[in-house]
Amino acid sequence: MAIISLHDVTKDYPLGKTVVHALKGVSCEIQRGEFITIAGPSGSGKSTILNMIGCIDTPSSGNVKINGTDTSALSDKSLTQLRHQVLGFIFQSFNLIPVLNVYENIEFPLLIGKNGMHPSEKKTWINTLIREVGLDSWKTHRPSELSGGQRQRVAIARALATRPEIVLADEPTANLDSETGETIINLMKKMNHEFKTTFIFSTHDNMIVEIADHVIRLKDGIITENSRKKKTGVAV
Amino acid sequence: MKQYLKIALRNSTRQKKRSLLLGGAIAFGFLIITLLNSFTGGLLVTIQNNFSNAFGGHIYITGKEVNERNKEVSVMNNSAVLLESIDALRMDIASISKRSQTSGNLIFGTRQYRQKIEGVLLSEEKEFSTAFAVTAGTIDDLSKENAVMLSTETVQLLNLQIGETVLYKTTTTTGQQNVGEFILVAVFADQSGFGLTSGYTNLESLNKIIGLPAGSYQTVNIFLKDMASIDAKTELLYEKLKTKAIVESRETEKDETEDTHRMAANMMRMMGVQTIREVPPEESWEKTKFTIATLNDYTDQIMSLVEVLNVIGFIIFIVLMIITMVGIMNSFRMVMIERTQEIGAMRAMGVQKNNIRNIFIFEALIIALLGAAAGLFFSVTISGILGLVNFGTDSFISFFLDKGYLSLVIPVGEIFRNIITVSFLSLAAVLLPARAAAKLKPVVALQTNY
Ligand SMILES: Nc1ncnc2c1ncn2[C@@H]1O[C@H](COP(=O)(O)OP(=O)(O)OP(=O)(O)O)[C@@H](O)[C@H]1O
Ligand SMILES: [Mg+2]
Repeated sequence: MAIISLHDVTKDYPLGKTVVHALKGVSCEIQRGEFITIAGPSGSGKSTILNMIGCIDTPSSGNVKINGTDTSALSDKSLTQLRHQVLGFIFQSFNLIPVLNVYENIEFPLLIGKNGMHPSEKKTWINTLIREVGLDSWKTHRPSELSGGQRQRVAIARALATRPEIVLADEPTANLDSETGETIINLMKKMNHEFKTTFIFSTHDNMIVEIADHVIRLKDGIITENSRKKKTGVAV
Repeated sequence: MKQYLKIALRNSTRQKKRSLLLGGAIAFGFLIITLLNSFTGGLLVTIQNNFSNAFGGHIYITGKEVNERNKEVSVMNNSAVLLESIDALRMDIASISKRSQTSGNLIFGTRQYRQKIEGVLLSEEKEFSTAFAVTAGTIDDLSKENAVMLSTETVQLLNLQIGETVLYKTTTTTGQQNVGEFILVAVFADQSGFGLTSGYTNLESLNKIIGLPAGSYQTVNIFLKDMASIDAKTELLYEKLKTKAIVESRETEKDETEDTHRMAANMMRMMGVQTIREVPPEESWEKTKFTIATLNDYTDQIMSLVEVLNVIGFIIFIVLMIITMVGIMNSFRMVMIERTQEIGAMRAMGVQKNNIRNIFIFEALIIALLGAAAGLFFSVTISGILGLVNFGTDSFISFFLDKGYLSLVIPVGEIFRNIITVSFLSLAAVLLPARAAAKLKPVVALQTNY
């Protein structure tokens, strides 16, 4: 079963007296463990679609299923719970909690609600994540003391803290220079590999699109390309 | 919950100036109200203690009789009925003193000093000899004829030595001028500290000077074990005594001046001023007419004045706090706007609405409570310093002082009330912005850029 499936999803935004059709009937499936990019020019609906998958926005019509569950039927409370348990988020502007240091920021999702982790196990896990993103010597630093790239590394570790099945990243590289951006995507790829987490990220940088093994291309709210690469790199 | 508290705590130091301003305003309000409360609280205790020391008890029973020349005399010759009634209260009584007193002038050489002197029934007042810090002579000699014990202050003023004889010019119960002689046997340190100190002699010696029979006395004063029970016990005594003797009504008169007159007359008798009055035949009575007065009769008005002071203080405090709360409300509106993206991110990560709201509430409470704590700290410090200053015992204000020092109590009850008030108000102030923050849609919050 696909971990995520979108069926004929539309999204309309009222804009003054007119309506903006941000998504005009989008259907697609995403499989467990994929490393997917949603590509397309500005205004094509990338963020909109990610927000639907991320359960922080609801479609105007159609439905989004996560692990087979139709999210449109859920209350705000259940959606919040679902986000906590199944999803991890990486934001374009990092959005770390400024008053928490690196370690505490990564720990934070583990302190929301219940998780079965033993304190010592939790500590080891957080330290593993910190090592994985290469911030061993920055543990006690606050976000304001870090560079953009470093902040996004923290964000990646934080998104993985609850061992979510899916990590969503809306333009995670947009606020970084291209070189740093590439290392960030590669780090995400590494995590995808190691933890078998499904990664979905949006970008309009074609260099970065190359790294993904599944590309969904949008234009004006419509999917124009939906192609999987074989391990060899050939389109499906 | 702990993680949200931690975030709230750290958030409270994010805009240091803003938090300091709000916390400082709360601290200032708290400082003022706590100082006021500790002052008035101490005042109540001091006034009650000073009064009860000056009057020598909590309940005062005086007697009036009409003598053969139709004059009102301050005395209670048939006190048996009174003592019976008092006996019903014996469990609640700390001590009883039966005394006569008069006011007059001590004369030694060229020096004169106005002094109230009390005649003490030493055989019954066992605690009397231990109640004083004797600085010269010996209190045991007080039972000797015409022996007197005076305060250090009086002795100094008169330049009197132990064993020397001093003249005492006073008025008898019937209004005659009389001059007696006293021999100074002991000197005690003035503990009440406000010039109302009596001199003491034995009951027989005083009675002789004011023209009373040897075994008579004018007042019976009662110290209760619990000062708070004065009203209840007095009522009991009054009801009991009324069935056996003539007792002056304790009902408040319709005519207020009547009331005041009665209290003033009472006070005069207690202070040993002999009030001589011709009693018209139609007003005359048999045996002793008793009057029961209490400490509260005299202090109630002062007490209610102090209470009014407290209420005014509290109202000012509330107004001050409400102004501060408007500040808190506006600040947190700003805070919500500043942290919109952060809120969006937290919501996306799975923080429930209630917890977003809680972070804000915690932050406001932390600022309020830290402010309150700072205010408390400063008020206690200032109280401590004020408590060290000696304002002297020689002026009128000394009646409001405890041996010349301000008596400042830590007003625990009021502090609790004020903390609860401040917490409640800051909760009310932050609730709207906190709710607004909780209601932010995560997607909208994340897209917001400020
Ligand atoms: N809250 C909104 N209100 C009105 N219109 C909106 C809103 N959000 C998005 N849109 C519109 O919907 C369309 C899709 O927007 P979306 O943000 O998904 O594009 P995008 O592909 O993420 O673009 P970009 O690369 O600039 O981030 C755009 O035309 C945009 O103007
Ligand atoms: Mg976008």
